[in-house]
Order: sequence, then structure tokens, then C-alpha cells
Amino acid sequence: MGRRMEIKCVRKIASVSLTIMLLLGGSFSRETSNTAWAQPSTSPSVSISPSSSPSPTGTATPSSSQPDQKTASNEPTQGAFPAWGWFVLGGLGLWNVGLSVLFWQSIKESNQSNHETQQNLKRLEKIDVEVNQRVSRKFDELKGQLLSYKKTLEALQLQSQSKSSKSASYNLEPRTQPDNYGDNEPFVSRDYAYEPRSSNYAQPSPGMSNPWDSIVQNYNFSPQVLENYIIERVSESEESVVSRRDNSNAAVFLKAANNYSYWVFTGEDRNYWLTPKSDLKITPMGFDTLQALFECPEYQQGSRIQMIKPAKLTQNSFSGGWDLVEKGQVHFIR
Amino acid sequence: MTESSKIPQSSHFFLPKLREGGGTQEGIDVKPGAVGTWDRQSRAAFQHVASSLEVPSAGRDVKSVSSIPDMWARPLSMEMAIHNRRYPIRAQMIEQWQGMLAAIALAEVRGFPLKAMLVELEAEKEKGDAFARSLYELRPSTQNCLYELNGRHPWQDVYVFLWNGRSIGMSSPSTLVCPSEEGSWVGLPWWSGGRLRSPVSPVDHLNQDEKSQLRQWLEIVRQELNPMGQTVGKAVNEVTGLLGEFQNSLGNVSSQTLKRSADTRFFGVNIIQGPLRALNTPIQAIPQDSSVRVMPSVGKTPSQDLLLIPEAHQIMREWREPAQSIWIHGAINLAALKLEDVPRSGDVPRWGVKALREADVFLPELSFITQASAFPGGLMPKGMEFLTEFYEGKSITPLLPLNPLLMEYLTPEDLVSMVQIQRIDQASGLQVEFILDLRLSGIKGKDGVYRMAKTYPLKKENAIAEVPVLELWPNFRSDTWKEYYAFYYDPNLETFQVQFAKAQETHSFKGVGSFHYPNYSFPDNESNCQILQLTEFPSFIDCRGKNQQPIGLILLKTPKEVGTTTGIPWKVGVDFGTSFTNIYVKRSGIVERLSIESLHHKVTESSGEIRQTALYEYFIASSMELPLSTVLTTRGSKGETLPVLDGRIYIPRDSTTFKPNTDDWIRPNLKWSAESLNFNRLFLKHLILQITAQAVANSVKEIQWALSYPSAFSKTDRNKYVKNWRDLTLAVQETTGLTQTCPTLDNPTNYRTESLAIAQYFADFELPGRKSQFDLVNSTCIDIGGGTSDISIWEENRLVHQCSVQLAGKDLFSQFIQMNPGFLERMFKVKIDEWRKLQGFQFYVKLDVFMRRESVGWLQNRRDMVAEEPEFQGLMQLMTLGVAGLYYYVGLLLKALAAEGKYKTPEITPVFTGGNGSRLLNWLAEGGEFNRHCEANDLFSAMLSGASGFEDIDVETKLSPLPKDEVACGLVLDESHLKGLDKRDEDPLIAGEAFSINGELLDWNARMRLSGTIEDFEVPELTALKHFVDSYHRTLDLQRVEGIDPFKGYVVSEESDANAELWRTTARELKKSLLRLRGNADDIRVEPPFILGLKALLQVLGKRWADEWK
Repeated sequence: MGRRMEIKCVRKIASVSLTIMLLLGGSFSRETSNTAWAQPSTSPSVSISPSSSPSPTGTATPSSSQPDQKTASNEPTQGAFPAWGWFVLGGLGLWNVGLSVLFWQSIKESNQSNHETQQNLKRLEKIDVEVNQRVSRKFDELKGQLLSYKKTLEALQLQSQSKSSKSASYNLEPRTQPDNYGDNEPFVSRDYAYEPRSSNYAQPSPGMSNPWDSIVQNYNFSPQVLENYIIERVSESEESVVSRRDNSNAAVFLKAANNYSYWVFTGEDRNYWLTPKSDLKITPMGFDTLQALFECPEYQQGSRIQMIKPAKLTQNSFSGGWDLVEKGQVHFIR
Repeated sequence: MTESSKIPQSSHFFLPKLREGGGTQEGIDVKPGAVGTWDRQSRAAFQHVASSLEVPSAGRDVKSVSSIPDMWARPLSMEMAIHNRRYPIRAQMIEQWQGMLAAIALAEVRGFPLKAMLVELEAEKEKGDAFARSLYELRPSTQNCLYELNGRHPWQDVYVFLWNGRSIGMSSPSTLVCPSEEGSWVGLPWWSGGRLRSPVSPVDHLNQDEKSQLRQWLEIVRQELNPMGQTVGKAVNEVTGLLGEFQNSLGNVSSQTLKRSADTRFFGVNIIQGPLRALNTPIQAIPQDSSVRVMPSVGKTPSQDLLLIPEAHQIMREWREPAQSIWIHGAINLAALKLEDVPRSGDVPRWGVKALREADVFLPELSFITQASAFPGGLMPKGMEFLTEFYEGKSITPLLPLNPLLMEYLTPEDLVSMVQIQRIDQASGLQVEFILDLRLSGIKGKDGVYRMAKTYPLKKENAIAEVPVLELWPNFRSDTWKEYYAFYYDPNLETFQVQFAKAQETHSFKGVGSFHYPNYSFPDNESNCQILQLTEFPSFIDCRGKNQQPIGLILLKTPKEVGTTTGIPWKVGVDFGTSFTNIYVKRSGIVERLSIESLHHKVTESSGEIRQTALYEYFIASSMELPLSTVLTTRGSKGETLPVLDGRIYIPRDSTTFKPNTDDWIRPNLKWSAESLNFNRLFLKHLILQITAQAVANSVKEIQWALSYPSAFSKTDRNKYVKNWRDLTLAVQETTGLTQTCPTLDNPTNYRTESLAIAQYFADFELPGRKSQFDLVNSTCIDIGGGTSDISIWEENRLVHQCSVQLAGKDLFSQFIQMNPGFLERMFKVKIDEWRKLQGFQFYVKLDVFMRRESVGWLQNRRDMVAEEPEFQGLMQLMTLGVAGLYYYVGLLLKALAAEGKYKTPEITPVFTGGNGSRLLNWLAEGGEFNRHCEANDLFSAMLSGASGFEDIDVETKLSPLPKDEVACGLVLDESHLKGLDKRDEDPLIAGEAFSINGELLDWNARMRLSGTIEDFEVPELTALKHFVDSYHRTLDLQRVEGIDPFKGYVVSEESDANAELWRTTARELKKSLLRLRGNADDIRVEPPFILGLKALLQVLGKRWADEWK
């Protein structure tokens, strides 16, 4: 029940966060678009500046004066002026007058347009202020909601922790392939291509120092959480049992099995770690394998497994099974 | 008509108006008389009035007229309907009349619950029954009667017909039969809506055969009415006419000749009145082939047929056939079948068949395993892919919810091919539908496949998380093999229980004892085990729930068929040793160690660790590597003599968990202990069965057994051993069909001493790719076993002497470790608490198990590191002295044989050693590997020389490359260049030390020919032994042997009082052994006095060593 509420809270927080993002994104984009939209209002003056030396307002922009200077610097080269030159000059003068009339007309229109733009701008600024005020109000409102949900979630987590004695945090790599996986062999696992089901697992707490601490914690307090992170379900192979009967020092070999007794995980160090399945019933015959994989103190009938340290495995790239690298350790508690 | 016009409008008529013409057409003249005046009229006046009235035609739905105020109203109404063609509901009444006649006619064929009883009104009246009296008084007119009753009124005696005990009609003198108006004909096909109808109209309920027979039956009724075809009265004419019409309505078919019931009282009474006689015998049902017989698979020859009793509506819809065409059994078709006559499932004794109702074909619930492919040894139907990740995200394997009765008729392959699985996703949850297309005999010329289906919801309470270990052995089929074993083991995981059909023997038991781990013993008291003996490979396993209720089947894959007629014969050599047993086989000229392949049929996919361990501890181990430990397990035994069930070959685990002292189901010492005879037989029987199964799996047609025995066996031992084999092989031959040839006592080819067998191995066996490195031109072969060393001396490939001495691994090694188990703790880091508790042979067996696995590695890696340690050195001294003593004895043999003139070459011989104990020589060599260059080799050569008096020419001791294989291998080597293998002369032991029997003193080189009763066996002086020990120490000194120290405090001296304490203690120890050598000479395992003295010396020195290291 608690867990369901927790999930519900997380979902609400996510939806609120998204709404805020959208609203903020929207206001930003609107601001941006306003700016972009405002540019054309100035563009007429810029666009006409190169040829607007006889500005109707009598003001010349710095950019417009430069070409004039260039023109002036060319004047000494003119010298004696021929008749055809006056003719050409007169033509140019006429041309200039025509152009000036034309430009005056366009400037007049431009001024009119500029005026309209200014009015639009003022109107938009007014709208912008209003939107900003509304967004701000909404933001404050959502922020309050967010804080409220966060507090609820924290309360639920606390409840959940108190139920499972300590912590349900888990930070395993969800079914990812470790860096040190050898060669070019593809990792063959039925359920390897796993996407983490939820992202609410906390990072390791500061007190945790071993790569398998979180496996142990979760195994002991909330093994159902671990089930989502199983890489493979395995049992000791029959060949291994036979071989160990013949020679008790022979290595244990595990392989995937439908009727499995153990779970394989990857730890934070991206090594492979093995635990018994959480509901493993300890039988006289299964105890032999358990002892081969874990240091076990004396078993008392009816007791259950408390994980101290998972067993370390390595994948056998030839057979696809698993070899024991280092024994784990378990206790039995009533 | 004119009168009527005068009638007031508000008036109502008492009778309908007259018809037009008043009935003049029929010759009736009815005229109204004067109002208010009574006229005399004839008897027929009312009839005429009735016939003259205008009655509107009755609709089809009108089935009766209820206005006749008469106790006999119904039969009179029927009479009128039959005899008056204008009767308003004549057609309906005739339908009912036909329906009743048909019901009577087909009563037997259809199995109708129809009975009759005679009602005699006069008699009832006489009894004072008022109702009967009224009926009697009001008897109807005989005008239309068809018969008379010898002057009595025909209506006074009538038959009442009963359907399921309730009245549904009666006989009628005027109409033959008359159905009652509201008769309840429940179950009669042509009775529907509370109304009796014609059997063929409006719905045709009869098949062609029935129509044909009914038509002929009606003809008989007609004949009864008018037997001579004479001119008869109108009433008879009317009825015969109607019968004819009825016949015509059945069509003109004559497919089946009428047979009438042989039961003259079919209806319970004999109906004998007039033409009613025809009704007395209904149509006889004619037996036909069943349409619903389950067609057995090819190869299945069940003694009884199995009939599927289908749901009538289902099969009629499926096959599109009426019930009467679906024949159930004999004369009973589906229409006539009374379900209460057949059991739900099982025998129908009356019919001599078995029956299975459709409702019981499928089990009521579906049980399933929540894992994929849970039954690797089983067959699964089509559609299993639909069950992947099906239940709570898990794949499931269902137990087939079918009635096991089907398996008596169908092979698992056939049945599984008829089943398919469908997945049904419904709002209410996931469901699985099982469809079964069962092949039935069907209706002539038509496909008899009948489909049945059942849908199951997946219920949590039917989910099974784990499967038990379920195994069958062996995994083949053969016409002659009739000894199968099944095994069930559930370590209390709440799996399911099982039942096997035709189990001959069953041992069901709770787990026995404990499983031992290095620090802990785990009691196995919660598990459930079953071992069963079967005569055939089962085709299925019937799974049961907690309360033994059926929960489904596992159909087993039919194993491969093997034959025993075409294969080649095997010669099998068995070295049944004290500690280990080894087997070699010769096939097609190739000699090799038998490879025991697993012949297990693994039914369930149980956890690997549980399965393997369960097989080792409670059943036949799936992996048996030769040589086998000569150890039996009796877990689950009932103390009887059934192989496998009461005792099996046991493969011990390792020494830490092998506890022959506390585990009383572990039985070692099978070879020598007289108390173990039953266990000895159980071990050998399992061994023979195991080898026979291997042979049959390879299509072998015959096994020739070759057996060995130690020369130390007494005559009685030898006889018992070979007889045992003969009895056991005969028993196995009987149940397996494989011819077994067992040697007799006087067959030296196949029943020979271990010393000869090992000699033949050295002489003739060639390892693949290389020639034998041994030759027996001039040599001694010693097979050092656990309890005996078998010696044979050869000269120019001719056997000079053979003997067996009880000085072997036990005396040369094991006894010292037993005296000082701390050695294991210090050298091998073994916890020895358990070891200390072991007595005698238990210790040796455990040590054998330990050394088998540990010694090779220890010798290679650790021996030289501890070689200088005093404790290890002490053990080396003891072992070297023991082996040197054996060599010294061989030297004495050479000397004695030379003196007898049997050994002519005046030199010592090379020695070839084999047997499990020969590995001990590696302990004496630096680097843990004995060879000709090691110090011990030279020492042993010197011992041969010292004893024999021949020159020490540094002969080599060669170890067999295959220790413990030599005897078994030598037994199957037929062609040999050795001579004397079949020598049957007595070759008594050579004493090696002077001794006296029953007061008679014999010298060291005397032969030990014992007979009669031994009352006294003495060794007065250990002269030869003292010489040996002196010679041993001198050689150590002369050869400057560094690796082996002399015994501390031993003085090499000719003086008689030197080492007095040692020899006094030795003599005392020897005395104990000699006391055992008393009694009947045939029962005594004779030992040479020299060897007895040596053993006593080793015990004394061993104790000293052990005391030093306590």
C-alpha cells in the first residue's frame, strides 16, 4: 500500500515538474520570439542607412558616413571636368533627386510603420508583463505543491525504511554488462536486455564501502527489489555435483536453470555476485551446494539465510555458465 | 333450419347445429323430434347425433376433448378418434396412438423404461375397491372392440402401461393402445411439449433400421388382428387401415430384418389378450459395433475395449448424427443408453468392457508447474508456446489433466498428438483450454474423431513451484527386459506425489539418516522417497495431490527399442575386490574397461544438486566410475533381498562425509565377511543387472562371465562364490532375457585365481599403440590388493607356482594409519574425530575412499617436503619392511621351488606388481613415483636374493600402468602364450617358516597340505623372519639407503638374545593369529607362517610408531 502511494507521488511530482518546464519554456520562447519579432522594427533604419546620407531627419548614422568618407577621398582624382562629365553629373543629379524622392517616400512609410511597431511593442510588453506575472504566480503555486509532494514522499520512504528495518535503497547496475567482460563474445542472457523499471533507487549511502553492500542490504531486507535486477537464475550443474562428489575440492560450476536456486547480479564494481534465491528452502541435498558457495556456520533446522557477503562469480566464456571465484558468506537466523 | 330462425338471439345451444344434410352422406338420418317428447332410439342414436353435428375443425394444437363425462373418457375419446373419421382431433389422437405403438415396439431397442401391468376390474371389484367397481359398472360398449375375452367383457381386463413407474397409457379393446392424456414420457424422443407425437413426424426420430423393423413389427400386429385375411368387422378394418397408414408413413425400407425380443416378459407381464399378443414382444435390439470405442494405438492390445460415453448433445452435434445411430455397446445405442448403467470411469462387468464418461475424460482442475520445460522426459502437447511467461510472469508446464484410463489404450505419443493447448485471455483472467481429438471407432464409413475440450482457469492453489526428482531406469525398451526401476524423491518441497501403474514392488519411505558435511550432519527426515520395481517401462506417471487426488499425467517419451538377437556377445571380467570392484569387457576382440553409461530417464527438471545427490544416496547413481568401491547402501531397505530396493551399489562421496561406522545403511567388507552374505548378493545382483543393462543397451545377445578369486579363498569360499554368481545371473537372465553364461567351479578359463589373471594381464595385454612391456619368461607377478597379495611365479611362460597371502594394503599401510590417525591430521590436514571412532574394516574403507582421491596429488606435491619428518619416516620404515618381507617370502618360494626342481633358472626374477595396493610402492620412492632407480627397488631385489640364495642381479620391480585393472583385464584375455593357466593340480602354500600342525613339525619349505580338523597350529621359532629383518637392516647399511632409516634400537646380530623384547612381543602377537587357524581345514583360509610372523612383527612395530606419535 505504502509503495503504491510512493509511486503515485513520484508520478505527480514528475507531472508537476513537466508542467513547470513547459510553462517556463513557453515564457522563454515567447520572450525569445518577442525579441526576434522586435528586430524588424529597427531594421528599416539599418537597411536604409548605407544610402541615406540625405537623411530626412538630418542625422547620419556612423555606418552611413563611412561611404561618404570613401567618396571624399576619391575627389582629388577628378581634376579637369569635361562637358560630358557635367552631362553625366547632371544625369546623376537627376538620378539622385529621383532616388531621394523615392527614398523620402519610403522613409515616410517606414516612419509610419515604425510608429505602428512601437505601439505593437508597447502592447506586447504589456502582455509580457502580464504573462510573467501569471507564470510567476503559477510557478509559486507549483513549487508549493512540489514541496508538499516531496514531504509526502519522504514520509513514505521513512515508513518503508522502518518496515524493512533500515533501508531499501539500491544502486545496482540494472543488468548491465561489466566493463571487464572478456573478448568479443556477446553476452548471452535471456533477460539481459533490461531497462531499469524505476529510477527511484538511491545511490549508495556513505557508510557502504563494498561493491556488494547494496545487494546484501536488499537481500536481507527487501529481496523482492532484487528480483528486478537478476542477470541470470542458476543452479549448480549436474556435472559439477558429480565432479565434486568425486573430488570435494573440485570447482563449483553453475548454469542457467529453469529450476534454479541462486541469483546472479552485477555489483557496483561491475563484477558478478551470487546469492541464494530469497525463498530457497534449505534441504539436506541442497545444503551441499550452499556450503560450496558460501561459508556457512552450523545450520539449524528451520532457520533462514541472512546474507553477509555474496559469492563472487566469473562467467565461463566457453560454456556460458558461471565459475565460483570467491566464496560468499551467510548466517542462519531464526 | 326453419326452427332455428325462431330461436331467440340470447339463447345458447346445447349442441352444435347439424351439418348440412344431417349426415345423409354417411347414411345417417338424424331429425329432430317433437319438443318435450321422449322417443325410443337405437343404440347408435348418440353416435349418429355426434356424427351429424357440425363441429369446427380443431387446430393442430388441440390434443384432447374434455367434455365427455365418463370414467372411461380417454379410451372412449381415443376409440372415437380411431373409428370416427370425422372426429375433430382425430389426426392428433392418431399421432399419439402411433407414438405409443412405436414406443412399445422400440422399447428394447431404445431401452425405454416401459413396463405393463394387468388390471382385472372384476377381481378388484371383488376386493371391494369402489373405484374399480365404478369402472367395472361403467365398462364401455363392445361395439368397436377388436377382440373378445372368452365370453368376458373385453374392457374388464386391461393392461396399464407404466413409464418409469408412472402410468402413461393402457391397452384398449377398441384401439389396441391408448396413451393417457397427460402421460409423462420423459426421455422419449417423440414426446415433446408434453405431447406424444408420431416417431417420424413432424420430426423423424428413427433411423432406417428402426423404421424397417417397426414397419415389420406393425405388420405382425396387423396379422394378429386379422390372421387369415378374412372379411372382418368395421372396427378391425379401421384399425388395420390405420396400422397400414402408419407403416406407409415409415417409408418402404427393408434394410434390417425384424427380430423380436427373446424376453417373453419384457414388459413385466405376459400380454396375451387377443391381438394384444403382438405387443408382448417388442423389436429386438440387434447388436452393432460400438461407435464410441476408443481406438487403441498400434501395439496396444488391451484385454477389454474402452467405450467413451459421450455427452449426447455434444456428440450428436459434433458428428451430425442422431442418438439412435451412435452405437454404444451391443444392442444399446446412445438413444437407449441409461447413464446410470455405466460407471463414470472403469469396468462395466455386464458388457465386459471399460467405460469412460466424457465428463470424466478431463480432470476437474488443472495443476501446473511454475517453470518452463519442467518435464524433460515427458511429452508435451502442441501449444506449449502459448504458456510462456503466462502465470505471474512465469512460464508454466501443465500436468495433463486427463483420465489415466486412456493410457491403457493409447501410447503417449498418440495421446499427446491428440491434445492441443489454447490460451484464452479473458477479463476474468487467463485460462488454458485443453482440446482432445480422440479417435473413436465411429459410425460405419465415417471418421470417428471426436473432439472434447475443457477450459481451466489458472488457480493459485494449483500452482506447484518445484518438481520432485523422478527417474526411470533403464531407459530402453526390449521385448525381453522386464526389470525396470522408478525413483521418486521429494525433499519436502511440497511438490506432488506419484503413482505408477503395474508396480511390482514398492518401497515408500521417509528419508533415512543424515547427510554429512564437514561441520554438520543434516538429517534427512522430512523427505519422501519411493523406489519401485516395474515389469515394463511406464508410459505415463499419474501425479497425485496432497490427499492422493489425481492432479494430472506426465506422458513419458517412449524410450529407444533395443534388441538382443543381433548383437555380438560380450565377455565380462569381474574383479570383485575387498575394497574395489573392477570390470573389463571384451567385445569384437577389443578389451577395455567397461564404461558405465547413464541409463537414466530423467523425467523432471529437478534442481541439479538435489537430483544427483538423491540418485547417489537413494537410487542408482547416474555416474559410476570404475573401479567401484565395494560398498553397498541399504537406505530404504525392508530387509529383504530385492535388488536396488533393498540394496544398491554405493558410490561414497569423500572421506569427510563417508561414515561407515555411524551410517548403518553403509555396508563394506562384502567380500570376506560371512555375515554379509545377503549384502554380498545384493551388491553382486545390482552389479550384474547394471552390466546386463549396459549390454542390452548395446544390443548384446549374450554375456560370458569371467570371474576371479583370491588363492586365499578356502574351498568353501570358492564354491560359494561361483554358486552365488550362477544363481544371480540366472535370476537376471530371467528378467532381462539376456543369455548369461556363468563359469563352473572347474572352468579354469573363466574362473581363475587373481594371481593367474594378473599374470595374464602382464603377459598379454597391450595398451593401445604399444606392445606389452612385460614378459613372463622368468618373472614373478604380485597383485597387491586391499586384503590379499596374489603371487604367481613364471618360468619360460610356464606357471611354476601361484599362491595368495593375506598381506596387502590393509597390513602394509591402512593398519598403521588406523593405529595413528593423527598422521592424517598432520600430513593431510584432515579432521580426525570421526576417523577415531571407526572400527576395523570401516576404517579401511574410509581410508581407501580418502586415498583414492587424495594420494596421487599428495605424493606428487607434498611427499618430498615431509620425507625427512620423523613421523613420516617411521611410516616409511614400516611400509618398506612390510613390502620387503613380501619380497623375502617370494625369495623363499624361489628357493623352495628350486629345491623341488620346479624352478630351474638359478636366479631371482623381475617382479611385476599390480593391484590397488601396488600404488603403495610410490610412497617409498622419492618424488612419489616408484621406478627401477629408486632405493627401494634395489632393496627389494636384495631381499629376493637374500631369501633365495641366488645372486642379486638387481632385478627390477615394474608397476602396472593401470593399477586395479589387471585382474579384470586379465580375465577377458583369452588367447595367451602362457602355459599352465588351466592347471588344475593342487599347488599348496609354501610355509616360509618352520611350523607344526597337530604336533607334526614341518620345515620352512614344506607345503601346507591341510586336511581334517586343525586342533593345533604352532610356529616354534621365527627363524626365517629374524633372518629377514637382519638381512633387511644389513642391506640398508650395505646399500647406504638414505631415504629409509633402520629401525631405532634394532641390533643386527646372530645372537639369540638380540632384540629379545621385539621378538617376544612379536611371538605373542603371532600366537593370537594362530589361534584363529583352528577348525575344519576346508573352512580355514590358510596363511604361510612366515607371512603370519611378518604381520605380527608389523603390528608390533606399528604400535610402537603409533605410540610415539600419539
